[in-house]
Order: sequence, then C-alpha cells, then structure tokens
Amino acid sequence: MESAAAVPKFSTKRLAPFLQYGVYIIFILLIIFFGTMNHRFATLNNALLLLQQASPIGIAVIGITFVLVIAGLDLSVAQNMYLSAVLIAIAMDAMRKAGTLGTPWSFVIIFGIALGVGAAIGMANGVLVARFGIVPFLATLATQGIARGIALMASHSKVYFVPELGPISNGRWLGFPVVTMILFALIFIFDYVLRRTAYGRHLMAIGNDSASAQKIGINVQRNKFFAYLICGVLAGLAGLLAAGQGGAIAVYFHQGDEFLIISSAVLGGISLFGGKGTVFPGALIGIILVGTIVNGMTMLNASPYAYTIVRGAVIFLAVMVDSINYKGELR
Amino acid sequence: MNEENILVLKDIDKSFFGAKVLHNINLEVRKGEILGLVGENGAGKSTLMNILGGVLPPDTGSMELKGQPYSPSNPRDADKAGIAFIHQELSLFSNLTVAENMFIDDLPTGVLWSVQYDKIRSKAREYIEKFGVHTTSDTKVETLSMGIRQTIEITKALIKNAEIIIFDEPTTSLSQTEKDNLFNIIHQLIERGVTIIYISHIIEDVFSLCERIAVLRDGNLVGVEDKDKITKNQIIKMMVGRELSQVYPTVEKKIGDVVYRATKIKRGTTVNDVSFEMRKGEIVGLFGLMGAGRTELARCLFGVDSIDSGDMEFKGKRYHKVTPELGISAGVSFVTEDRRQEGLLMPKTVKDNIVLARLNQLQGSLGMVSRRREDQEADKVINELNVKVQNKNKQAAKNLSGGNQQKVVLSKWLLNKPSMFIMDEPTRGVDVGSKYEIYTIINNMAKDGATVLFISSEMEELMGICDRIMVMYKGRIVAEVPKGDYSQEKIISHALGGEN
Repeated sequence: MESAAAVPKFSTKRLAPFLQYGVYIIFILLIIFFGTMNHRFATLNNALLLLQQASPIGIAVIGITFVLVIAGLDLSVAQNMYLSAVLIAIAMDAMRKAGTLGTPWSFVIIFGIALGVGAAIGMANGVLVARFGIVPFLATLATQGIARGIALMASHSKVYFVPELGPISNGRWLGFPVVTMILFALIFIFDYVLRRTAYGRHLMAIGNDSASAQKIGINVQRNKFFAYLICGVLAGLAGLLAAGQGGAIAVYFHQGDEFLIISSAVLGGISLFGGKGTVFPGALIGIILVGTIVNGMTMLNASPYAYTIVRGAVIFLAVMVDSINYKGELR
Repeated sequence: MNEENILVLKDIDKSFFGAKVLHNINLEVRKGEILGLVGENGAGKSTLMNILGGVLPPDTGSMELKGQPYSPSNPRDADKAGIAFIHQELSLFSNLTVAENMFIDDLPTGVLWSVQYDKIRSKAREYIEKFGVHTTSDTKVETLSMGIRQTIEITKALIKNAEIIIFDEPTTSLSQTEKDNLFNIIHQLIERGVTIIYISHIIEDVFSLCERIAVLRDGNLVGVEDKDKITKNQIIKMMVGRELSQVYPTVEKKIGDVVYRATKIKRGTTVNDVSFEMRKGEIVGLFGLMGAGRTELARCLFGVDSIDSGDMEFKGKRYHKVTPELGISAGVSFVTEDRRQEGLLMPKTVKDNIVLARLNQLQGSLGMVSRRREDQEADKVINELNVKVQNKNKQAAKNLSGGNQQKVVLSKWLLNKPSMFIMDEPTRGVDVGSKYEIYTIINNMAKDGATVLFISSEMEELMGICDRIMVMYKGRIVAEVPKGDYSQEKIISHALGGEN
C-alpha cells in the first residue's frame, strides 16, 4: 500500500512536456551530438543516405503500426523479411541460370514472391490471433520460428547475392532515393487508411476497447485479421528492399530486427497498449529517429557490439515512455 | 395482449450449469413508462437484461415486442428492434471524437472509402444541440466527464431510434449534479415517448424516478408494484425477504477499557488536530460529508499517509510514526471499498482467494499443501461468512457480487485475529442482504474484543450498528453522538458545520 501511495511522488506531471516532445528533443540532441563528432554528418548527402538506409525497415514499421494500434504484436516481421528475401534470391538464381533475369516479368515474379510470402505469414498470424484467439506474442513467435526454419532449409544456410535488386534499393531518381519514394508513397496511403477510412477508425476503436467494439457490432475478428495481413505484406516487401540494399542474404539477415521495428513504432508514439498512434507523423518519426542513430554510429565507426547496446537502450527508452504515458484503465 | 404493453416477457426460464437463475419470469412493460427493476446482486437482473438484449437465449419462454414475437439472437438484433442499453461501463471509445463515437458502427463513406467527416460532424452537431450536450463534435471523448459521456451514449441510442432504453446502474460513476442532469434527461426521454427500464440498487433513486417497480429475488419476480402504493421498507422487504427492523443485527457484548488514543493528528489542512479514544469491543462510527476528511484520517491512522504532527497510543504503546506494516504487526487492519487493492485476485477462483492467505497454516511436510485441507478450509470460511458462491473451484472472484467479494476480503483479515479494524465504506456497492451479513461479521468481531472504526457516508447504517458516532467537518471531529442521542437531523447539522 505504501508503494502504491508513493508512486505519484515520482511526478510524471513534471515529465509531461518532455514526454510530449521527447522524441523531438532526443532527435535534435542526436543531430547536435553526431554533427559535432563528425562534420560530414549534418549534410544533405548524409541525410538522403540516412533516409535511404532507413526506408526498407521503415516499410515494416508502417505495417506493425496497424498491429500495434489494435493492441496486437507481431514478432514475425524480421523473419518474414528473411524468408521473403531468401525465396526471392532462390528464384533469382534460377532466373539467372535461365537468362530471364532482368526482364520485366522477372521483376513481377520477384515482387509477387515478396508480397505473397508476406501475405501468407500475415494471414497465418491473423488466423491464429483473430480467429483462434491465441495471444499475439505466442502466435507470432510460432510463425517467426516457422518462417525462419523454412528460410534456413530452403537456403541451405548459403549466402545469396542479389546485385540485380540494387537499382531499386540503392538507386536514385532525380537525386532522390527510390526506396524512400516508395516509403513515402506507402506512408501516404496507409496514413489515409488509418486516419480517413471506416476501417482505420474501427481499428482505433478496437484498440481502445475491443469488447465494446464487438458489442456495438464492429467485426473485430475480420478487422484484426486484415491488420495482421497488412503487417505481413509490408514486411515481405521490406524483405525485398532490404535484400537489394545489402546485396547479400546470409543467415543473420536482419535477425532480431523485429524489436528495432517495434521500438521505432513505439518511439513514434504508437502505444503498445493499443488505440493510440499514427502512420504520419508517428511511424515516420520513429523510422527517422532510429535511422539517425544507426547512421550516426556508423559515422563514428562505433564497435559492432555497441549497436546491440544502443539498440537495447532504444527499446528500453521507447517502452518506458509508453508505459508512463499509458493512463491505465481510465480510458 | 394489452395494446399499451410495448414489451411482454412470458415464462422466461434460464439456468447456468444446472443452477436456475431465472424462474418463470412474466413481466409486462407499458409504453412510455419508467419501470424500475430492483433486486440484490445475483437476483437475476443482469441475466434477464442479457436475454432481452440478445446476449443470452432463454431456455424456455417467449418475448413479444409491440405485439410481434421478439427473439434476438445477438445484440445487433436488439439494436435493430429499437432496444438500447446504457451500461455502467459505457461503450464509448476514448481515443475517438464525439462525432466518430456517435456513428462508429455505421460510418458513412464516400470517395476512396473515406469517412465523410463533414456529414457526421454536422449530424453530430445537430444532436448535440438537440439534447443539450456540453461538448463539441470534434472533442475527444477521453477529455470528457463521465456525465457527458453518458449523455453521448444516450444520444447514440436515440440516433438509432431506440424505443426502449434500459439503464443498468447508470449513476455509479456520476456526481450528484450529473445524476440530477441524468434524471432530467430521462424525463425528457419520456416526453419523447421512449420507454425506460431503470435498474439500480439505490432504492431512493428508483423511488424518485419510476412509476412502477419490479422486484427480483433469487431469480423470481416477487412483484411489480405502483410506486404510490408501496413504501421503501416494503420494497426492501420484498428484495431480501425480511423485515427492515432486522436490517441491523445486534449482539450482546461488553465494552472494555480505552485501548486506542489518537492525539492531535494533523496532516495539512485535510486532517486538522484530531483527537479521540476508542475502547475494547467498541464500534465507533465516523460520519462526514464528502471532503470532510474521513478517508484522509483513516489513511493517516493506518500510516498509508504520513502525519505532520500528533501521536497515537495503542495497547499502551505510543507511536509517533506508523506504517501499514507496523500497524498490521500491532494487530490493526484496514478495509476499504476498493476490494481490488485489498488483494482480491479478481481472475482467480474463490477458493484460491480464500486459501491464499492461509497457505502457511495449511502446508504440511516438505511445504506441500494438501488439496483436501484447502477444500476444507475454503468450505469452512464460505459457511462461516455465508459467502454466496455456486462453485468455489470454478467461479472467479470477479464474478462474485460486491458483498460476497467483501466477505472474502474480510476472511483474509480475520485470519490474523486483529484487535482493531479501520473500515472505510466497507459496504459500498454491496447489496442489502450482504450488508446485513457484513454487519453481523463486524458485530461478532466487536464481541470478540476487537475495536472497530466504521467510516461510512450512509448515516442509517452507522446509527444501526455503532455504539457512538463521531462527526467530521472540514478536517476536524466536531461532535460525538452517543447511541441514545441518535437523530438524523442532529448528525447532519453537525456534518454541515452547525452549532447545536
């Protein structure tokens, strides 16, 4: 009882302005810090590079936003990306041997695989969570393992090279990264879906109070299913673009990045408790913030082990801020 | 059937797991009336309403709505038939705006599936004006008070042309002004030709609002009476099946020496220079209006909040600073209306909750706890305190009525045989029958030599079971009324800061 009474003493009220503008403050401090450490950091060229590098993961962040606003979770996104990338690489190997790689049809197949793999995993998650009511954490942990297993078996743990995807993932059009244009287009579309359509509003309602939503006749199961489907499809696409960016796909391809994706969303103000968050500016802020950290550390020649520490710190910070902001049952 | 009956229930039966919860209910609701529905918790009110709302099907029996057979298979059917529910937990989404909430289940969409915000905003504004809701269409619901939220919920029902609106304990989270406002709105609804079923355990409210009152007891409809032809006491009698004179149990007991003394307790301005004494075996009432400082004083006495100055003496030992841990080890217990915080594990079964605090006593060799002894212990408590539970191994604590939850909480405290109890509104949200049993438990504790400080905002119950009543006003104890001098007027005038 004493501790319960003592909690309000750690006044979250005093923290309120910080929490509200926290990400912006962190962002500015980071730019100042990295900028003073390396004079090439705060340049237009680097800003474009940063956006380009953050874009594939950013597309997965848009997807996970849809799952998080219904108080769901998707741990399978990173392995979804891996499976998508591996199957694309195998198909490209086959097409390379047949000499058909580079034709328009080959790109249709490549994109088809990415979206198909994503949709399959998304649907599996959707059925498990929405239809059978399995806790999202466990359902998506299961599909994560299955996706990784299939990818390892299919690839025989080999490293694949996919230089042909470079023009999409690393190319520029009028000096602007193509992947970032794709990211911006998707942000535009999915912000519209979440903000302006009845479907999006229903998702927000479900995230706020799923039982009430059910009671007043919103089709909770179907809406949830589609949220996981969207998340899966965008993760599959992210896998394709990430593969093109690195040029190579090894067994550790984006391993563990589901937490980076989730914490990007949470840093962008999308609550793990559901019912709160936006694609624009929310998810975009998270994407850019995490991108800045990764880019800045690269420029400082930080030790690879330091990334893990920073990644942990980012997740901690994001979740802590989210928990403090959560108002409990008084909704 | 009578033409003025808008809704007729015929021979409704319902059982859960073999236990009958509704027996042969026959009820007629007249068009344009306010029908009160009262009954103790567990009397079957919610089950009956769930059947009406299409949440549950009846086992047997039939319903007629406006002369037509009515058999809803889900809440949507009830909705379409023009029956709306206003529950104590509202089904509004706090993260959406007022306009979005009003039309969320039927959002009009236009180009590219986009929601036609212009349309719902202007419609919402129209309704807001029509019903005098103090808000705007673009306000987020999370910023609104409970009263306004409830008005929005009612507006939602009217948008759907509801002809029957069922209010289920609507006043529990409302302030007095909001409650008055709600009653005004209900009268307006009647003028619009809406029929109202009003469920509440606050009999005063039902009396001031309703024309006819239906009483449920243990799944039976014991009567439907016109308000003018019945008294409050008769209704209570029908609800609990016993005379009002028995509502307050008495017990032969001996009041001993002073065991507790608080001297000049002060905390800010909320508790100001409070001194009093309590004796062994005494039940002392503490009355005061909202904001008088009752709860604050209780928290100081138990050490939940620190005091600025003053000290306490308990069983001859002086304390300048108390903490809950110190209090418990000295034999003081603190029971509040907040049963969740009292350590009742809501999703756990009744048995688990009872046994949890006793595991140390129940464990045998190697720390193993025998199932059989757990069962015996749980049964013992359930019998002693008369906890109404259908299946102690399956029923979760959250499915118990408020009164029975409170009994389970008390059983936990009783285990350590405390010599002093501080009870802050222990009967709030508890039905009449369980209240009686809680009073009996308190009486028995006093008989066994415990000292009880009983805080309540219900003057009647204090007068019923306390040996004397202290009255607080603005953080001070302004009067002490001994048992022989009890009168409502006297106590209230002290609580209002009067002189006499």
